[in-house]
Amino acid sequence: MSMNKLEKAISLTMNAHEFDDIQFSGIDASKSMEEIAKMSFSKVSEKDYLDRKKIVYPKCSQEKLVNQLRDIRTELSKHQVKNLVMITSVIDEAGVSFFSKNIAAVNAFDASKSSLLIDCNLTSPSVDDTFDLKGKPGLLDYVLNQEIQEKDIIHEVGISRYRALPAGNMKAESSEYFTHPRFKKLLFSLKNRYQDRTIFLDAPPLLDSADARILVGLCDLVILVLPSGKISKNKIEAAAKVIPKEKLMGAIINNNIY
Amino acid sequence: MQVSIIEQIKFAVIQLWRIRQIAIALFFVIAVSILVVGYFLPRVFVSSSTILVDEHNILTPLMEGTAVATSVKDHAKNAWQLLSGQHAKESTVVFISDEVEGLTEKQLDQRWEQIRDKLDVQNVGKNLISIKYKHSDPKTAQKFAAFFTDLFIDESVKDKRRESEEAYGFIASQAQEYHEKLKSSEEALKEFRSDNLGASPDSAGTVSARILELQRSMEQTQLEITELEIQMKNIQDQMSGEAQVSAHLTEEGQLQERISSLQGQLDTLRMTYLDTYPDIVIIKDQIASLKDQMEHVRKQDKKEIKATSTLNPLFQELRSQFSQHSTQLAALKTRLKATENLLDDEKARAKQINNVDAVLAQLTRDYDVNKNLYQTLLRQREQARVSMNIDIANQGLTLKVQEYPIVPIRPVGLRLMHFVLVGVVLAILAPIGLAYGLVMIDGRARGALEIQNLIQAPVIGEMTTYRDTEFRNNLMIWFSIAFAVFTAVVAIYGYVAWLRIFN
Repeated sequence: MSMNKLEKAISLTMNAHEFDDIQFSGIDASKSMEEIAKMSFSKVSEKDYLDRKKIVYPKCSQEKLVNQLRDIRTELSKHQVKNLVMITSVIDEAGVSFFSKNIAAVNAFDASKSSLLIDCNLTSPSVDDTFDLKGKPGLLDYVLNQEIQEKDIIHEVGISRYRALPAGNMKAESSEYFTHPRFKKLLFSLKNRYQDRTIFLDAPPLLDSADARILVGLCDLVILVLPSGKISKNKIEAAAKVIPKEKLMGAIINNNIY
Repeated sequence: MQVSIIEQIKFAVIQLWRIRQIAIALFFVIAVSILVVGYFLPRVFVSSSTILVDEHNILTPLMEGTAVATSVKDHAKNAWQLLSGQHAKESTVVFISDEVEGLTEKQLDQRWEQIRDKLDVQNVGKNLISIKYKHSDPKTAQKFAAFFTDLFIDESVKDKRRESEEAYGFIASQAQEYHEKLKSSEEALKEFRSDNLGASPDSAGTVSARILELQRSMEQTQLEITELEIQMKNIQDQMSGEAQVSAHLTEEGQLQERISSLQGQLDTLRMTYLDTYPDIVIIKDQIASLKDQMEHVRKQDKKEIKATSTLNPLFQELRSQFSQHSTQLAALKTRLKATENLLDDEKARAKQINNVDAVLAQLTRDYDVNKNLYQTLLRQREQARVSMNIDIANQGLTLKVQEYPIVPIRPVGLRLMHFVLVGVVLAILAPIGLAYGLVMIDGRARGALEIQNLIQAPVIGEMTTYRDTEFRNNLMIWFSIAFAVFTAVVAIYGYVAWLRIFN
């Protein structure tokens, strides 16, 4: 990353500003961004924690995976303005959640950037599980409950410049939530608040749910996670057709052997 | 869309990992089931003998130049005919009498069919045949192979003996037949000769000479007859000119003479004178009186010629000559007739001689032909007798067992060893093949190029497996399971091999 000092300073200031309106859990809010960056991953316990969550960090053991993710991040950084990235697939179990949380992590390696992971799998959420956010308010709570503010649902996950927005405690019963004005307002607000923040939408499979199709209309970019050898060509073709050409950034081939 | 081989292999390996449970099960099932098949597949032992068969047929040299015996080349076919025939069946039933005791005719037939199915006769070279018998028990295979080899030799020898006996019998009967023919033609010749003794070909010369002689004699007689006839005609002529009685002839003649002379005188006088001239009238009167007289004489003649006349001696002479000649002529004519008859006889004989000649030639030819054939057959009969005696003494045997059947040690066909190899290879290849097959045909997208084409957008990256301890453990567990299964299969194979070798 070649960024001049001015830009760095600006981004740092903005990051610091962001942290102001967030409830920090276990981390002192008064500490500057730089300090946070310095103290990140310093503890062995944190590494264990990340290993356990299968989330990559710099110099972790998953060298190849990290490099692959870095390359993808580089591709992503070419689309500066389009920071609302929807990650979806064609089938379940395609590795969308795994990719989402990790690409968000890799994106956050860069001190000038931050990541926000929004769990849009309302029927089978996973973000709350990953970051021990069970019981914490999330997307559904925000949409359905006027009293809950944005800052209440964006949670610190123990990784610098990495925030998560879980699906929420309420049970999803229909696909009405993504068309809800409050959701649209939330997305708009999040997207425009910080230019250096990339928002990753961990979305359900395209062909199975209306949710995903609605999200396609709301996001800037779509990344398809396609596990190698698991999806029939017809389905891939059909899924690609659902996404407007200008939004479809490309596909990630998931070579996971499972 | 071109996918590189390395990529394909990579996909196949991933696919194999994904179907690991099936793959391991497949490996195990295939390995074990092929082993089971190999173990329980009945083993077939083949015991075989090699027999040298001489090509020569006893009839061939014997009938050389006389008859052509059909040459037989396919020894194996012959042997098979011999060993699958009714005769062989009977011998076999005797051979396995313990086993087939109390069986019905139908069961016996079935048993014989089974045995025959296991028997095989092949040509293994020029004049070499091999008799093979296969059975799950090596000793039984040997027992039957030996039995059929002996049976073949026995039957062949019997056959050969029968053949030479038949050959001898045939030649002897032919000789006998020709003997009869010869005898009858001899008889016919003899009879014919005695029937035509005078007509022997040698007498042909005599007959023709005789014919010539007879013809000459006939011509001579003919000449003589002609001569005699001419003579007789002459005599007859003479006899008609001579008076039978001389007196009678004188008186009338005298009167005639006087009349003639008076007529002359009258004619002369008439030339100078008229009829009234006296002389003439006188003469006329004289003539008339003479004519009267002559008439009178003629009348008298008839009454008293014998009394008055005497026989003419010349006439008598001629008459005697004439009668003599007639007698001679009659004799000659008789002779001519007789000679003619003789000639006819001789001619008939000559004709007969020619006929006899032809018949005799035919009879002689028949006789000669029969004699020649008979002599040849006699010679051949003696040769056949010797051949037969040699065969009876087993001296002319043209069969030789070059290799007697032994108890086979190794079974033929697919052995357990083959099944082990095939089993291992197949068991390993099947899961790999399955994985590769799935990669080829399951219609799922795998490669980046493929996906790029499908979504009409770039593939921006790949993501590998998160290799944590859990992943490694998992890997380890599955490799351990695979290894354990493999070891188990090897152990099973080893155990089966041990069973096979030591039992």
